[in-house]
Amino acid sequence: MTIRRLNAMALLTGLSLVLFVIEMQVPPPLPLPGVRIGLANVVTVYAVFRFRPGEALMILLARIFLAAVFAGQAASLLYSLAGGLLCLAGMLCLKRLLSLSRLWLCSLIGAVLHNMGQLAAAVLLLGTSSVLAYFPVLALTGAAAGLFTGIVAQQMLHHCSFIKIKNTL
Amino acid sequence: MTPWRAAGLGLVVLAVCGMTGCGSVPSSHTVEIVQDGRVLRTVDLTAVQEEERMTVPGRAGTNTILIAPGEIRMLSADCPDQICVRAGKLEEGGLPIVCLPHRLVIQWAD
Repeated sequence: MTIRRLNAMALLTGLSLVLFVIEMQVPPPLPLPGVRIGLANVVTVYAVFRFRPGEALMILLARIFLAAVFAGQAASLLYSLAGGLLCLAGMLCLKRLLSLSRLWLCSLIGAVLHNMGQLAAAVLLLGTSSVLAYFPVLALTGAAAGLFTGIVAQQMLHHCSFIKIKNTL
Repeated sequence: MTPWRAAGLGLVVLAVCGMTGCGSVPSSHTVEIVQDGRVLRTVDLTAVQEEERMTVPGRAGTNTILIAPGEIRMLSADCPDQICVRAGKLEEGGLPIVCLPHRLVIQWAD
């Protein structure tokens, strides 16, 4: 890993944390647990398409741990980890099937997977399966949020050549 | 397939999922307060005579639940998002009230 790559990864981690903090200032769009816009996901989608899988994982993990520190919410760490890892795994698989012009679809499915991972963690941590009733609403809001962040990431990929790294893709 | 067409398709699919889920009606007026997978208390809302505030301390924070005749809601929570408080009272046949950070759920008993 060159210094240049490390530098770009640090920049992206910083960017995702800024997006996370901005989102933290905005009240949740719906008073439903687990429903978020997921602005920081823009960076994850970008990293999936522009960086190696291991590097995208490092950016994601650094963001999740630092975001938990910034939010002062260690309790939400496990939900974020479950959702984030499932989302990343799904998007890394989809990347092989989808072209760059279908990046929004990858993000959409990734966001739904994120909410499913969160829900699975919630069932385990809360110790009650009644929360599965949130499945339809979480799938719907996840798809909407993922579509939005996917379109943003797709635009970012087209316009932000300054963090484009040689020898990727 | 354009993004908008996909979004429209997703909406239809989920609307159908939502409608099939809304048909269920709870058989009783009994609710459970669950923390960390343990049922702390079972309350029959029709048997509640007067208003009561129940404080639930946890490892991550504290919640206060309002138990009133025929009604139960989260009164306060010392977490930043306040989602469980904004959820209002537990609706009949509605979704359980969930406080994710404090691992607390108010749900209808089956």
